[in-house]
Amino acid sequence: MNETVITLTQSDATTTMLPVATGTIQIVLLTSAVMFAIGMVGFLTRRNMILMFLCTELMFQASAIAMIAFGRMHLNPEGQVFVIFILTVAAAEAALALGLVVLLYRRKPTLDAEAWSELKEC
Amino acid sequence: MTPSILYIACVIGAIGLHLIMRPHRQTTRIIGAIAGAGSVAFIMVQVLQRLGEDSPVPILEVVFGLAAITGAVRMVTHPRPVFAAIYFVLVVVSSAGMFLLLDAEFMAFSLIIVYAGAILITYLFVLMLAQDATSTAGEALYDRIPREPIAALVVGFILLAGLSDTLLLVDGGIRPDAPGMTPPLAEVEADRWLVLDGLPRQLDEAVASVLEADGGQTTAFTIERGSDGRAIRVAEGVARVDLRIGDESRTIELPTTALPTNTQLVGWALVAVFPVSLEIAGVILLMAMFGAVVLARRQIDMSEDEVRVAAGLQPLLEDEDSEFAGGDA
Repeated sequence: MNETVITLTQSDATTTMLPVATGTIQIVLLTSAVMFAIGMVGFLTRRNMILMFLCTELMFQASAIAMIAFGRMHLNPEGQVFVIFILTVAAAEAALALGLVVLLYRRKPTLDAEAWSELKEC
Repeated sequence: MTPSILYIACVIGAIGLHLIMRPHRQTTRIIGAIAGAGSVAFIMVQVLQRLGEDSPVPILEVVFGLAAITGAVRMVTHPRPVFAAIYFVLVVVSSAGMFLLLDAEFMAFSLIIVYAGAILITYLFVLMLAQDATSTAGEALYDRIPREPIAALVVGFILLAGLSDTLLLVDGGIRPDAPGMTPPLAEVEADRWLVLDGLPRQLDEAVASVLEADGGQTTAFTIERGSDGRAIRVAEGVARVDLRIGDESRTIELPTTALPTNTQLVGWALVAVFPVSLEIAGVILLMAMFGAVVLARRQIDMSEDEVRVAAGLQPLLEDEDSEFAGGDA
């Protein structure tokens, strides 16, 4: 029996194995926080029903960025998997919400959310 | 940077956003834009200043971040809904750029395809479908005047102050170089070799390429698995595979280029670590499809020509043709 050990020239560890730079992670997380806050402000101030849903998409987007950033920081692909699920929920939400908006628009021809404020019952 | 400076920057940003949001004159809005952009840029500069001299400056991250925030602000404040949706595309594209910088290539491109390609087009369709045909200006009054801007800004920027305080200041902020923040690299590498162990065909290709680089024959080899069913043994940062070529036993070392790529790691985590969540995501999509079908299934009790007349078009059929129109006429 002939035992041989072959060694190739070891390339540098792939860049994804290296820890991420502190500046990158902090800037990206700051961006995601600002985007989330703006999305929330937009959701509360916009009167157009479709744009209110678009603002929730903005908040989804911000949380997706935070997931990816933390996944990258912990060198773990599971953050990206969570973003795939976020995309799923966003797509489902968009389909249903827009269907509902079209139904509401058929009843009262305006997109103003105030037109439906009796749904609050107060 | 102390917390009070951060809070003051948040307040200035909130005031700026308020000035942009109200239907003021152009100059007031420009002042608001300058205030908002100034506060964001100030926080970013503060973050960069703390990094130290020798650390690289994340220029692209800053550019994409500012583009995303600009797009978000314009989306929230633009009086025309279609433009707001298009500014959301800018947000999506800049966040895809950030995903690329964070080594998430698959997510970057699927984000562009799914968000900018599919979801945004749906939104645009509905926006155009529900656009008020009677107003010629295209800017409905309810799109120009915000609802309860002060209360919303207070809530939103308290949230922002808390979030950015936690992210940037508490315990020195989120620092990957702090102890315990990043797992040891040897551990990460061992985990990734374990993923390659679960991909038999790729492991075969990696072994074959190593043998080929050695100049040997690549014809027939069998990978010998240990008693735990694993082919790759990781010891002291080196991955070794036991082979049997004919009667000969060999041990080869796998180069780090054989490690699974980012996309493969995501796929592996999706299928092997979260299989139930994947199934549930499928069920959610199916249920959303059923829901959309049920919502859209309302009957419209008008003939085709009546719908045309209601929409302000000429009817297609003349009076004497009406015997061809309906079934019973």
